[in-house]
Amino acid sequence: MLEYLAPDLQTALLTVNLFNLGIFRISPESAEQAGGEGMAFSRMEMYCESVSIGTAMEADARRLEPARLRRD
Amino acid sequence: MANNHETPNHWGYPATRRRFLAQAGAAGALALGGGWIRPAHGAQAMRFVTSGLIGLELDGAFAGHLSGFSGGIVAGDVVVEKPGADLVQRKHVGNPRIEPIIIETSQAPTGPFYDWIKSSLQPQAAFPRKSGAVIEFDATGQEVRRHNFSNATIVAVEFPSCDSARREVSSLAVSLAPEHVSHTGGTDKGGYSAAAKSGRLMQSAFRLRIMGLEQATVRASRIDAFGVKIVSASAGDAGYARDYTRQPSTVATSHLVVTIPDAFAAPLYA
Repeated sequence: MLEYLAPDLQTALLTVNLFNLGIFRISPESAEQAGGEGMAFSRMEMYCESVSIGTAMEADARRLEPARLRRD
Repeated sequence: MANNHETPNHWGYPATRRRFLAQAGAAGALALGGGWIRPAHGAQAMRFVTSGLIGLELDGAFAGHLSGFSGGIVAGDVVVEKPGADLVQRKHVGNPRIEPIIIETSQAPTGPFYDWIKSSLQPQAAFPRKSGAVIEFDATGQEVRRHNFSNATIVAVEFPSCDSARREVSSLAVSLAPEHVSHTGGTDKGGYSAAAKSGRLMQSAFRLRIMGLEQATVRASRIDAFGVKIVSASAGDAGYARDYTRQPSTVATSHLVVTIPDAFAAPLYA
């Protein structure tokens, strides 16, 4: 679930529920690309089958374990 | 007789992404993983109104504040005929179509607008249609221009990108495919509703939770914009060309791209 928050960083203004995510690519990203200083970042790309907007309770009814990419 | 079709920009003007989306929608094509609604920076300028105030009206009631809008233009392809003995290419305008209306809001949708987006994203046999208007107000809140639309469906939603290092306002973009549009001057139906303002979306204010990956995803530093496109064979058609029996056939979701500090990325490989 992705929540867009109010300035208090607690109240959700808009909640996007993401269903059946699957990681299909993880790649390194340079600090310059990621906008960080001296930190290494990973860029994770996932497919997503469907989305809905609504509360967390509504999402629980449809949520499934995400598929994962294994390193080996 | 008519054996060649050209788009209105055949004189060499670059096509906007919005035009591309309209054409892609008409062909029933899916463009996954790329930009969804908004034009890339540097693309041909869209007619976004950034001065004054803009509001959205749905079914006669004020439904929210907008940060910009574009589209809703009636246009037709130029049909070029085979040259005759005088070597002159005869031309005429083909079937008219209505370009999608793209609205952007930097505030979280509420009320009827929220309900419309929510019900449009759910796979179903028939998607909800609404009539309304995009209204331009002057600085004093008086209505100066009205862009009416009727029987519109939502054909795309682009959720804003997030970036923990940026403090700018972000915006949600929604693309509407109306059956009919009209543009009029301001009316005295109602004024700007300042009281209807809701929370403002900020790029740095977000939280991502994915079951089993919470330790990594709550540390996400950036999430690219992503969206949903509702495709039907009739998307982009309007007026004479609109087929009342057609309904959206595919709800396509773009990929989600998340940037996470390496220090917290271990759960991704577990």
